[in-house]
Amino acid sequence: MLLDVNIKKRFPNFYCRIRFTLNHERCGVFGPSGSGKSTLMHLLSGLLQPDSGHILLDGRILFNSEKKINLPPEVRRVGVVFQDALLFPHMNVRHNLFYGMKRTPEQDRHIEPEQLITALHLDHLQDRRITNLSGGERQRVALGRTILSCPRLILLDEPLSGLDEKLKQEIIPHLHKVFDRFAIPFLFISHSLRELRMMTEHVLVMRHGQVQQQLATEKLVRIKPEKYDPDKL
Amino acid sequence: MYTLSPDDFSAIRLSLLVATSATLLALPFGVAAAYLLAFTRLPAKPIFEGIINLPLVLPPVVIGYLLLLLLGRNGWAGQLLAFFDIRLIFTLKGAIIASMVVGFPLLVRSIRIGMEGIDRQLIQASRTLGATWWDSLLTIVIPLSGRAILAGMTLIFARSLGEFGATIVLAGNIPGVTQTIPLAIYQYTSTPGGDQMALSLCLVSIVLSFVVLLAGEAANRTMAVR
Repeated sequence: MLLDVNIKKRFPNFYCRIRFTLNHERCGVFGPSGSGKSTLMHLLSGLLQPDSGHILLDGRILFNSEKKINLPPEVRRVGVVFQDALLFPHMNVRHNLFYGMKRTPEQDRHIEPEQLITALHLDHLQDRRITNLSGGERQRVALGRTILSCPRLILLDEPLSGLDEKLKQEIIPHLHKVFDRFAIPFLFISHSLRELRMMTEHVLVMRHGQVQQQLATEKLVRIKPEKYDPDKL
Repeated sequence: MYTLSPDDFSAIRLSLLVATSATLLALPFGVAAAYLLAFTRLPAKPIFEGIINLPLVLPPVVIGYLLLLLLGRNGWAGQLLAFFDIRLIFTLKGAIIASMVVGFPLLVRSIRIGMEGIDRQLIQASRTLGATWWDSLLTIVIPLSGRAILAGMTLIFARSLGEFGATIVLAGNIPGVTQTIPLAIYQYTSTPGGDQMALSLCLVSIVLSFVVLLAGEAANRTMAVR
């Protein structure tokens, strides 16, 4: 994956000036609350429009203010796994899983759904209502739903933050398994060094709406955490 | 003995026709207006909201009179319609329009409340999964507002069954053409010896309204179980 981002976005009381180039498959975005991590996720996925700049994913223009290009979220093929899973409550597990896939052009569907469903241990849950799922099951369905839409990049917005330790331990092996098997690049957004260490190989460190540093995850965990986020760590 | 004359059956049929037509015709506009109120940041939103809710507070006769001015021979909309040889005043279409306008705020309010209860992030999630705006509206917003839409439809239908003031001004009280149940009851009460007939239609009106409410509630429960 080659992701080239150089964008500006101004809010009434917050200013984002994000500039980075990534060519790693498993990246993390680290920073304290309010550092602009979720804003970055919204800008990359097309849910928010930058004021100016460009976003290129593998050479494909997702946004370019000079060329007046702004691809809407539905054609960017940037998948998002949200913090709260955000499963559609009026659909069962199966309909949730296949929602994105049905909307993906046939030539881009390169993932075998049954394989993914088995890898995520969702076979027996397919007819269940969303309200009858545990937190871990919900996140697994959300992950499966996003992967089945065959995105070129997946943004995971603190997908483990709402789960207790036991559920985190349940879902992390699934994350590893599916990302190994289906080889989809991802950006794992988190304020937890531990999660980033388990999931990523390269990290962007954000603060005050800017990418402050880019480094190997290994190096990040050697740095004294208080240097980055004394409140959280 | 409660009996119904052929004119009464005609009034019942017209009432059901007017209520059904008004409900179905108002529905797409009601969904659109509720969507605008629930999801957009229009600068003139309070004014838009005020206009939509006006029929709730205005006397129906005033609404009927305003519609008469607008759609009548000298009104600008009436002149435009006349150009296409369309006449609404003193016709069944006029009765349907009167019912639509009077019941519209009830429909919009109900749907709006339902839409405001939807987590907007669900819509965002659908967009990142490849759904266009329309797709998202049809597969996420409308199904999740289903119960509110149904409640709004029940309200406008029931309101249309009982509509009197605006209808009599705009569509008149012509038996077999525009005379609905309330108008027929009004006519009986102003005719010597018509009390018994009026009471018969009152009973029909009560039964119809009750059936509408029961059907609405049953459908609501079915959707809740799903």
